[in-house]
Amino acid sequence: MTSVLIVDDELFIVELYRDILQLRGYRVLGTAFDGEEALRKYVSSSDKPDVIIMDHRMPVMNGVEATREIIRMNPSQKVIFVSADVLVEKEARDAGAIEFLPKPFRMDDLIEKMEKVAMCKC
Amino acid sequence: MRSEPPIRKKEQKFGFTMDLLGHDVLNNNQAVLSYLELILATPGLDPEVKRYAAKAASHIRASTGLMVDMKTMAITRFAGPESFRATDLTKAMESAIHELPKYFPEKKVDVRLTSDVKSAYATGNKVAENLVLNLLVSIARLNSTDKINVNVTLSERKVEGRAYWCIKLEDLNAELPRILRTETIDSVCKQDISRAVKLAEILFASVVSEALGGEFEAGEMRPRSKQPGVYLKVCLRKAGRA
Repeated sequence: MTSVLIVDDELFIVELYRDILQLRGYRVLGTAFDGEEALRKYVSSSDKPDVIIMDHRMPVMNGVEATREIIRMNPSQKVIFVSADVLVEKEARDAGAIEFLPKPFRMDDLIEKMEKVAMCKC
Repeated sequence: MRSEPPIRKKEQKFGFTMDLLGHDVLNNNQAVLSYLELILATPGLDPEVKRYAAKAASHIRASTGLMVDMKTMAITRFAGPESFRATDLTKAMESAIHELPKYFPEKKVDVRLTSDVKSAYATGNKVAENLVLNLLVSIARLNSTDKINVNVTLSERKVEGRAYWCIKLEDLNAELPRILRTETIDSVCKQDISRAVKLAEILFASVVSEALGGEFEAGEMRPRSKQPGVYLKVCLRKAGRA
C-alpha cells in the first residue's frame, strides 16, 4: 500500500486529501502544517513515505524550501507539489518535486499523479 | 535612491492582498470541487442529485477560472513580456479543449482544431495557458444555445519584423456582448459599468494579451447581417523553446 505524508497549512485541505486518499486505498502516514514540521517529522520517522504531497505557501518554511531540504537528505524521495501559485512550478521542480499539480485540480488528477509517481522507479 | 511613487506602493499592496485572498478562495474552491466529485462518484446516486452536483461543480470551476484570471492580472500587471518563458500554444489548446466540456456539463461541446501546426512556442508560460483556456470558455459562454461549436485555427503573423502566433476562435452561434457591438474594447472601460455585462473574460483576454506584448481582437463574424457569429483572436509573440 502506497504511503503518503500530507503537508498543507489548511486543516480542511489536509482533511480533504486524507478523505480522498484513504478512500482510494492509500495509507496516510502523517500530516504536517508547515515545511519545518514536515522536515522534522520526515527526519524523525523511520518509516519514510513513498510520496509527499507538498503545498507551497505555508508559515515558517514554504514548500519549495522544505522540498529542497528533503531531497537534499534523500534524493530518491518522491514529492508531488500542489499549489494555487502556478508560477512556482519551475522553482518546485528545481527543488526536486517530481510532479506539479495546480490548485484546484480534479480528484482523478491527483490519483493519476499518485499512481504514476508510486510506480516510477526514478 | 529613489523611492516608489505612492500610487505604485498602493497598487503593490492591493495586488499583494488580492493575491492572498485569491489563494484562499482557490483553496476553498478546491475543497468544494473535490467533495462534489466524491458525491458524483457515489454509486447508485439519484440522477437528479447527480445533475445538481454536476451543475454545482461547473459553477465552482467557473468561479475558480475567474479567480485565476484575477491572480494572473495581478501578476502580469507590472511584468513585461520578457519576464515570461516560452509555452507551446498547441499543447495549451489541446488541454483547454479537454477541459471545456467540464464547464458546460449540460451542453454538447464540439471544438475543432483545424490547423496542422505541430508546435507553436509563444511568450507567456502559465499566463498564456490560462489565456488560451479563458478564450475558449469566453466564446463558449457567448453561445446561449445547447450546442457549442467552436472552430480554432492557429497561424503565424509578422508585423514590423516581429513574429507572432495567432489563435482564432469562431462560433457561428455566439453573440457579442451588446456593448461591444457599438464600442471598441478600449472604449468600454470609459463607459458606465452598470451596462458592462458579460465582459469580464473578454476584457481579461485583452489586458493579458497586451501585457504579454501581443494583441487581442473580438468581433462579429457577419457584421452586416443580424445573424449571430463571433470570433476572438489573440496574437502572442513567438518565442524559442523554453
